[in-house]
Amino acid sequence: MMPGARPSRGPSRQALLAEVQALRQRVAALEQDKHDLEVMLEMAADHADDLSAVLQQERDDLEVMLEMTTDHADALEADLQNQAEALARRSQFIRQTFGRYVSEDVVAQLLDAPEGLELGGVKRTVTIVMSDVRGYTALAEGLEPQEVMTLLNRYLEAMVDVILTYRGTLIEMLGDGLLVLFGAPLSRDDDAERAVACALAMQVRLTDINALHRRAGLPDVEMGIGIHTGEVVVGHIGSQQRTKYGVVGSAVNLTGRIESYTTGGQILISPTTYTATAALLTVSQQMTVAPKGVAAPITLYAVSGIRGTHALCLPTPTETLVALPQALAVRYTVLEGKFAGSAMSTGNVVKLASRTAELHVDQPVAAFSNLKLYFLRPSGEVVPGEFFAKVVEARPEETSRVIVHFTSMPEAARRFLDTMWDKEGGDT
Amino acid sequence: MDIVHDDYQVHYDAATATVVCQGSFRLRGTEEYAPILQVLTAAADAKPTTLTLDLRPLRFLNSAGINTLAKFVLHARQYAATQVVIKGSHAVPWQEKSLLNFQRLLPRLHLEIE
Repeated sequence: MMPGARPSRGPSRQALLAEVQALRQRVAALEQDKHDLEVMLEMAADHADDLSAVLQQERDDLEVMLEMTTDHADALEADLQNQAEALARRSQFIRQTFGRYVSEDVVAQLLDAPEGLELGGVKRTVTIVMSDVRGYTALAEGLEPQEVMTLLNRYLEAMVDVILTYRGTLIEMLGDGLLVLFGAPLSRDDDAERAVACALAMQVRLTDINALHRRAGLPDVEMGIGIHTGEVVVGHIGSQQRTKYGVVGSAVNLTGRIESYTTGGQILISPTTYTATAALLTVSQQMTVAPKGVAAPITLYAVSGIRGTHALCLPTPTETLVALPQALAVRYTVLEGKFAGSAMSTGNVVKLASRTAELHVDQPVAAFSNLKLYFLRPSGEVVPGEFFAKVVEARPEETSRVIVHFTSMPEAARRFLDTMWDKEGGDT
Repeated sequence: MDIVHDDYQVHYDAATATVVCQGSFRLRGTEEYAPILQVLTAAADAKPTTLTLDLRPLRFLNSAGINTLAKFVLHARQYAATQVVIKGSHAVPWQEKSLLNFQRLLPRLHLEIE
């Protein structure tokens, strides 16, 4: 300040100091605010980082869950694919294995419930049906090969058709013989009933086949059927290269024996099958037999009809034995199994019908024996052409008299018989 | 706290802190799985030292089911003091492939596949 100048008017020093103090306070407050804001910013940033981390974690978790779900779905898909392929292979196997032996609806049933099908060996109570053409070998010998095949194929085609209709399982087809099961691979309550009905239907159908045969100039075919109900083991039998659905057990052997007692057109059933079906059956004959391998004799029942759902009956036999004014000499051998024994015996046919005869024999012959016979001319000369018969009646008290049923008769023997018949003036 | 259904069962044994799932889980979506998830999360909320989920008798589990189990593992993850054990079986095809993935959600999860 210039000397002598008058001091200018303005805030007092005190006021200025107060202002400075206020400004300082204001700066301090602003600095506090700034600091607070910086802290808040830091907090917000930290919080955002935390939130971001949580969100990132959740995002990661969700990604993992999505991958897990996709992996799991892939695993399930692969598993389902494997199961579908296994099922397809199993279906094909069932079709290939059973398609030839059982009807299509049984195959469908097996496919629907594969858990019910045990492919390994399994014990089952089944009803076994065995059929055989009587005198087939001799029949075949007298025919041309083409005729034999025509006859056999027509016969088998018709029989298989009947068997499948009655839901039987065709186990074996050996030449003209058939082995059929009712009760495996699927078991039903009416197995025994269907088996007997099937046998009746087979016999009925055979009469139709024979009508066809006669028109084609072919001989009649006769079939015997044996039926037995018992426990067997069924399952796949064979090697890896060749396997088939088969059956084993003594019940099968017994069925074969029962079948061997039958004559053409006859159905014989065992006591077990009879017990299971008796209320429905018409039985034409009962017989006691002692099959090989069976401890005690058993009763067999010749079935001629069934009532109920299936309602079938055999054509009634109309044969009546007619006495011959003059006995007809025969020479015969008792067959052991399918082979002729060596001892020849002689006898006389005293009564005759078209398929049965009363024979007087020199040596006693047991019931159900199979005989191979030749006719003898009055001169004693053997008539060419052997024929076969089964002894259907032989009484212990009258051993020299038996009733036989012709199971096979070649044309030559038949012609001879016809000439003798005409000569005797008989009528069938 | 059991769930009994014709196709599946969930049994929780509080004494052993074990949840056993058996049968086939074929339920649809989160809603149908809610009761099962509830049993599982409740078992975790009890904060046992070891919590066992036995899946050996569970033959089938659909995708919504694996999702439910994953949610359970995530829920149990919050309890650091609880050791989660999942039991599985080689005999059940899906378990061998899918159970390993749970360790991606909870690395300390103990898997016993026999």
